[in-house]
Amino acid sequence: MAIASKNKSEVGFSLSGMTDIVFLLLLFFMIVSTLTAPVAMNVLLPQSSNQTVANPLITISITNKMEYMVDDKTCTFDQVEALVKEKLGTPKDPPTIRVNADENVSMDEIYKLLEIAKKNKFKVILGTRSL
Amino acid sequence: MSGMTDIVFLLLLFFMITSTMIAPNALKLLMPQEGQSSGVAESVPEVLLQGSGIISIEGRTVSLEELGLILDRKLKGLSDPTFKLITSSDVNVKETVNVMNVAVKGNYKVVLIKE
Repeated sequence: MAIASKNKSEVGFSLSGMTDIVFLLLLFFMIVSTLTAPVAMNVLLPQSSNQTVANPLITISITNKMEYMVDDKTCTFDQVEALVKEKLGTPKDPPTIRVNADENVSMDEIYKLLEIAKKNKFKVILGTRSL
Repeated sequence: MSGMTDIVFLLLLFFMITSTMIAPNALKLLMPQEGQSSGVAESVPEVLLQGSGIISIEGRTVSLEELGLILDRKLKGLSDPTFKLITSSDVNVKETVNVMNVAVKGNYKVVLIKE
C-alpha cells in the first residue's frame, strides 16, 4: 500500500500532566499545614498535655495586659459578647468557643467569660500548649 | 514516571489526612445547664487554690504531686469522681490549669468555684 498514513497517533498514556497537578496539590497542602498555627497576639498559653477534638468556631484571646480579641479583632470586654453573637449568627447546635487566655490572666476574667458562655449556652474549651 | 506518581500520591494523601487530624491542645470545660444547680454533693473533696499557686486540701498545704496522690486515694473506685476547685480572686490561669491537669490525668471532674 503506497498511501499509508505517515502520522500515526500515539497510543501511550503520559503521566507527566497528572504528576504536575499532584505535585502542586502536595506543595499546597504541605505549606497550608504549616500555616495553621494562629499567629496573632502575644499570648503565652498555660501548659497541658490534654487534647480536645472539639472544633471551635470562634477564638477569644486575652493577653496578660487584659486586651481582648475575638478571632483577629481587638475589642474591650464589653464588646466581646456582641461580637461573638454577631459572628455566630443563629447556630443550630451549641457552638464551641476556644478561650486562649495568657497564663498570667486572673481567673476572674475567665469566670466573667464563662458567665457569658453560660447565658448564651456556648460550649467552652480552654486553650493550652503542649508540655 | 509512574513510580514517582505513586510516591507523590502517597505523600499527598498523607498530608491531606494528617492535616485534618490535628487535635489542638485544649481543656474542655463542662458548662452547667440553665436552671440547674451544680448538683455536687457536699461530700466531695474541696481543693483551695490561692495566689501564687498555693494549693491546700483539708487545711493542709500540698504540692501538685501530693494533691494527685491524695485525690487518687480519696476518689479511687467512685463512679463519678469529682472535686471542687475553689479559686481566690488573685489566682491566674496557669495555676488553675496545673490543677486541672491533675484532674485530667486521673479522669476526675472538676467543679470550678469562685471564692
